[in-house]
Amino acid sequence: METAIAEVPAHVPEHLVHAWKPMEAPGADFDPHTANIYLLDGPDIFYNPVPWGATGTGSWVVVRYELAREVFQNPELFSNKKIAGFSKLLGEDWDLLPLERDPPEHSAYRLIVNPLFSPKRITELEGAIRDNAVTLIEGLKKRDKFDFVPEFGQRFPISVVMGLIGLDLDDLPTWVDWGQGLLHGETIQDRINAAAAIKDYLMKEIRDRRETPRDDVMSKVVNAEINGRRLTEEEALGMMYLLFVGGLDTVASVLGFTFRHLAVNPQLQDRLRREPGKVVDALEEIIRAHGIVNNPRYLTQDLEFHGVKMKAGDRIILAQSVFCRDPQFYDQPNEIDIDRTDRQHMVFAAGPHRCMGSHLARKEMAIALEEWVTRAPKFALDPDDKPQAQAGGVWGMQKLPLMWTR
Amino acid sequence: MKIKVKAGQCQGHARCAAIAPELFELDDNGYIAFEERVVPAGQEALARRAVRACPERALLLEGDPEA
Repeated sequence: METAIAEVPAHVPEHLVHAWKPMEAPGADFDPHTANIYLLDGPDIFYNPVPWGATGTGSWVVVRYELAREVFQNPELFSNKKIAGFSKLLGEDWDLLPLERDPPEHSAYRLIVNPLFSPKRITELEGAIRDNAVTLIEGLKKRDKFDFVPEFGQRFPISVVMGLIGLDLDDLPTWVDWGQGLLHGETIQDRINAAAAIKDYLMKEIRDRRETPRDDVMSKVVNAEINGRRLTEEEALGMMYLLFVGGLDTVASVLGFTFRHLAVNPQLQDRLRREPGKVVDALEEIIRAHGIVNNPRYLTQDLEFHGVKMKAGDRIILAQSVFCRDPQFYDQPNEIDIDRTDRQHMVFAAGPHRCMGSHLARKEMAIALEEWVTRAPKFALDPDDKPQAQAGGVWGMQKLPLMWTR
Repeated sequence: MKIKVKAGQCQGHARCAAIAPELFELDDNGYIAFEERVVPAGQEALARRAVRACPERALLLEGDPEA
């Protein structure tokens, strides 16, 4: 594990330093969000010397909703360049697209993917998504207990998005291992191995579709034009790498937290069964309270931001997993109240890098929940096993053993 | 009462359209399809809720007696 503490830069005042290891907070194995709300009693922005991912350096951390919004909406001060750094793991230099570019060049790449994942397009896919959910749920109903994470939380969204991209679903278990290695790998070598395996796999699929396009999202993306020319192979890789990794982990993470919440709240399960029309509200509220992606940005210049002196090149983490519970923005932030009349959140980020899969993600999760409450029996945590969360750059449930209570 | 969209601020979250699809028409990319629009009588409360849901604060209500 990369548990070392990085050196704190000279411009960081000592009273703002806090070594934040979210999984070490008491209770984090089950509920890392509630376990880490203690940060909201501290400064609005603190400095975490625990290295970020494989970078070896610490980061500023923003725990206030309004400050995070300001950062998201100011790409000229807070850049997305090299925020994922997957190519650097391989000793290479290509960007995830559009993610690792700033406006205005970001916009041209974004225009390629927007129509492929627009609300209108996603509505057309609803039937296929529902069939997928129904098949998996009917299979699970025949069992007494199961680990929700691999059996549904990962399998369902990964099947949907990879099917849409046009990949052969037989490879699904391998992708899950790669995703785990790349995003949650315990050693740098685990991350490097996964980054290389994904690249080799995608390059083969990309070359194939640049030669002979098929009727799938990947063919549309890798043969797209930008500013009147065809994407380069490296740009095609950058686009597909982002779609692939984005499709692997995030919806699975949110579904894990959602079903953990439902498993310990049988009265909410009952209510949704009686009122399936409340599924979308329930989902929005559960995801509001369970931000999963803690987005990094890099300072483009020296800056005093809300009283904190930062230097060009500093990393700033928008701790969505914490500011989703900010009491300065939300009334009763730790109450999961599906009847809130107003609900604004940034779980899909904000600013030009708003999650491009947000409409697909929302549709998948709503369908999953609708089908569970209409066709599955009640469920609870399996008392013979233990749920396990994880909390790095992306927070999620690693394991969620459930049983039917019939 | 009028809905006004701040230029360049919509990022396509589509929260407004999720709450009030008739009031907030989207383009094919899922971004708001107009710059301003009159809110029909009786739809004011719905319009307010939709405006409050926008994480970008890209929407304004002009001439809202309750503002």
